[in-house]
Amino acid sequence: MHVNSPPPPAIQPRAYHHRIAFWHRLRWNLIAYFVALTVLPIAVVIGITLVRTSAQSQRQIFNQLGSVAELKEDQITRWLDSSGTILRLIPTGNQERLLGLLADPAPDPPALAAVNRLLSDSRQAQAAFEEFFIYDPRGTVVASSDPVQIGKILVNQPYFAASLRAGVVQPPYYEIGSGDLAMFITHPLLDAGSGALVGVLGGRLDTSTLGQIMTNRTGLGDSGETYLVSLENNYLLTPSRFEAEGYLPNRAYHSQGIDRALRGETGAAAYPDYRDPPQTVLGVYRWIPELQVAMLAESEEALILAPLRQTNAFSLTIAIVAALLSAAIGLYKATRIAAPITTLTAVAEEVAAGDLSQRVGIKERNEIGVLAEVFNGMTTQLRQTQEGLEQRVAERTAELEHTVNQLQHALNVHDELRATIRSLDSPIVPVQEGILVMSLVGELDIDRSGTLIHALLERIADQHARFVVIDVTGVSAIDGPVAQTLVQIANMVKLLGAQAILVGMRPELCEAVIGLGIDLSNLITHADLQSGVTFAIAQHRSRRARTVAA
Amino acid sequence: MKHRSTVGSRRLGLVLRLAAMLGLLAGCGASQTPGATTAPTQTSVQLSWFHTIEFVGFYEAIRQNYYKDANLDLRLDVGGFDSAGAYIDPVGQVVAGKADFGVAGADVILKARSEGQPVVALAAIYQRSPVALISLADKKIARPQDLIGKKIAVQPANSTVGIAYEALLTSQKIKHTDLDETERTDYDTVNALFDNQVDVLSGFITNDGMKAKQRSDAVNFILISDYGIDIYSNVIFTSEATIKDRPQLVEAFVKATVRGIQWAVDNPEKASTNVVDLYGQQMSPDIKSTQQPGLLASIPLLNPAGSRPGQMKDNLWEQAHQILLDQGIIKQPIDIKSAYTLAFVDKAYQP
Repeated sequence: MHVNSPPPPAIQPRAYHHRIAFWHRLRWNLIAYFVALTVLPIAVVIGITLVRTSAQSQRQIFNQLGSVAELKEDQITRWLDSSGTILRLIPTGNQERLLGLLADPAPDPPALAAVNRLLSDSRQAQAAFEEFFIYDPRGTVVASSDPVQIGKILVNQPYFAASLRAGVVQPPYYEIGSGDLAMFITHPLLDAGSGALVGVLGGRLDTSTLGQIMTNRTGLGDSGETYLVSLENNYLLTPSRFEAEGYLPNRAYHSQGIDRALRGETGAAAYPDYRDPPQTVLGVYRWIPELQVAMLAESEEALILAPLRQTNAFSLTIAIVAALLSAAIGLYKATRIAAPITTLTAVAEEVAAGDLSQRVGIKERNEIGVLAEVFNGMTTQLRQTQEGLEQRVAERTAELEHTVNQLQHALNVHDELRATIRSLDSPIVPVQEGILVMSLVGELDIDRSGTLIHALLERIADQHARFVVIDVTGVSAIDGPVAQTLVQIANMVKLLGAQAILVGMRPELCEAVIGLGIDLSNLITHADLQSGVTFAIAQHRSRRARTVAA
Repeated sequence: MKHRSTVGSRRLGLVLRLAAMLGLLAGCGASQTPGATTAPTQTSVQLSWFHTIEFVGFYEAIRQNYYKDANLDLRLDVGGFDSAGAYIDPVGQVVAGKADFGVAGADVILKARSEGQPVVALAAIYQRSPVALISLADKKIARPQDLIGKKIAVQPANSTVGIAYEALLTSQKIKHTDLDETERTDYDTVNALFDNQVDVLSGFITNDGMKAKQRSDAVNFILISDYGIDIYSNVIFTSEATIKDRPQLVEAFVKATVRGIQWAVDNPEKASTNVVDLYGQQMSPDIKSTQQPGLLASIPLLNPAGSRPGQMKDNLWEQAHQILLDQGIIKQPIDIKSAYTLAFVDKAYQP
């Protein structure tokens, strides 16, 4: 019998298309590394350079402005000091004349003229003061280098009260009437003996000196200026660089620098200046206590930093161009490297999914090219192997089928043999007329017992047997069903009018039979075949005698 | 766990207490500031003359909303002459209750007090005297002594200029008989000077002086303030009753007004432009064109070196009092200290 086994199931294609997250993709990673490697250093270097040069530039400018401011403050203090010295020189050697004039309520003209001449000569001998004058403790000007001033009463002038106590440097202020900037230094004249104040020597300073000092452009370049701001109403005491644009002295000016300096602070900062609209300046501000004014030294940031800004802009442009260029190159190169790998990956996925016809068309001259070649080779090999395998599987299957058929044939022969053996292994032998002997050998399965019973009953009927001796000595295994079968045999024999005689029972068989609780009334048992047959013969003879007798 | 909830609940308690306090404070604040809830206080000031930069402090305090910030609604009563041609007297107006505040010279205040009028000066507008004797430079009149023999246009004896002029002559020991004095008639222009009708014109540096300077740079000024005479030519005053009954009003008004003067001093161009914009049509061309230079010239008067706008000095009141006595404008000495108070202007400068 040939068996047609069903064909082996086909290999199901699994999902081999892997999902790679965008940020894990080789191409983008390569691009990122390339760009970072080139752009990052450029950016860092440029950034640091710009910041440092800016900071340095600013520091430099502050230093310069600070030097200029310091220098000018020095000039101003020296001007004040030397002016004070000049003033105090006048009484030297002239004490008598001056004190005499002041002491006299009605000085004679010559004495007055002499003092006036002294004052005007002194005035001409120097350049710091515009006028020298002397006033009494009530404020009346008794003598002056300028005759117009004589007779004026200075009691309500800002410096008057303090000038009676000590020498005064009156900070600059704008006068009534002329609107001129006025500044005075005073020196008390004391009585030689008592030390009491007899009068005051005053000098009106030429304030244009201040203006000259402050408008001097040394160290300021094109975009800088220095100026003084008065504590009174934040007025300018020296000209602004932008005076022509309407930035006149007597109005209030405010800026961070001005306001801080007027609070007494000294420092440097970048801040919007006093103009409208304000421009950012780098400014150094100081408080000048001798003059009670603020000094500002400022440089317009946009102008002074212009060259630096240009350089920075240029560097930045170059850097950006370089960065873009490297980014572009990086992009190209990364793509070039990543592309074949991506292709290879895709094809590999296809192959893994079962399509072995795919080939990679990469012709690189590097490791990737080799990989592609090897991959193609592997795929080809794989395909060949697969095909070879399939063929061998077919061959083996054919062989197996053949073998199976052979086995089937052998099996059939075996069955026949078994049947034959079956038919051979349970002979029923008539030992005498009316007595049969059946020796059971081997196993006693259903098929066999069926055949046996059938054969036995036929022989009993056929031979008119009156006694059947069943020899179970050769029965290999006796269990419940076997015992049942034997009892059945005995019962069926009984039905036919014969008597079954069981011989060759072994001890274990007895246990099994009794254990079953089977009705054994139809069973006669004897120890062995000989005694059984002897009994059967005896019985038969006596029965036959009885029958004949009857 | 237990510890955390304790801290948390303590914190919550603190936050709630803080919120309650803030709520209370906000409520208190709202009821105290007369801002959004209470109506502004109506008040008024009687000016001593027609609108001019002399009163720039008031104009700027209005424009910069300093009165509004103090919850005041100020009415400016222009001075000058009424329909009958009589001079509008600020003292009379204030005493009669028609205005809360007024502007007048120190001489006017002292005279009024000597006549029993209960007015009190609060702050000075011009802290030095603006009175000047103006002449063309070629006349070479530089000192009071140079006035002798010259023709001078003088103002009435009991006017601010008149009193100052008299005080000068007295202190310089110049006799009227040495001078050729004539009464000034034209107060609008300085033509008399340039038409050679007079040698010297008496007036204010801030208007007459600027008018002269506009026409010619070659002018001489003899400033009264150079000769130790600084009678306040315009002070802000009020009645004793107002000070007693409404001190907060007085304080707020003085503070806002001195702030206005400070703003004008800080920004003279803008302030003078504002005056011209507001009142230019009421002014003659000469006056209009001298508003700005006038304000610039008055800056040393509005805020002299070492002082702040509005401040007054005791010795100047004493001096004014003495001058008035000397000139017989007041017959008996009066209690000067009751004629003015520095309290309100000092308070205006307290931080």
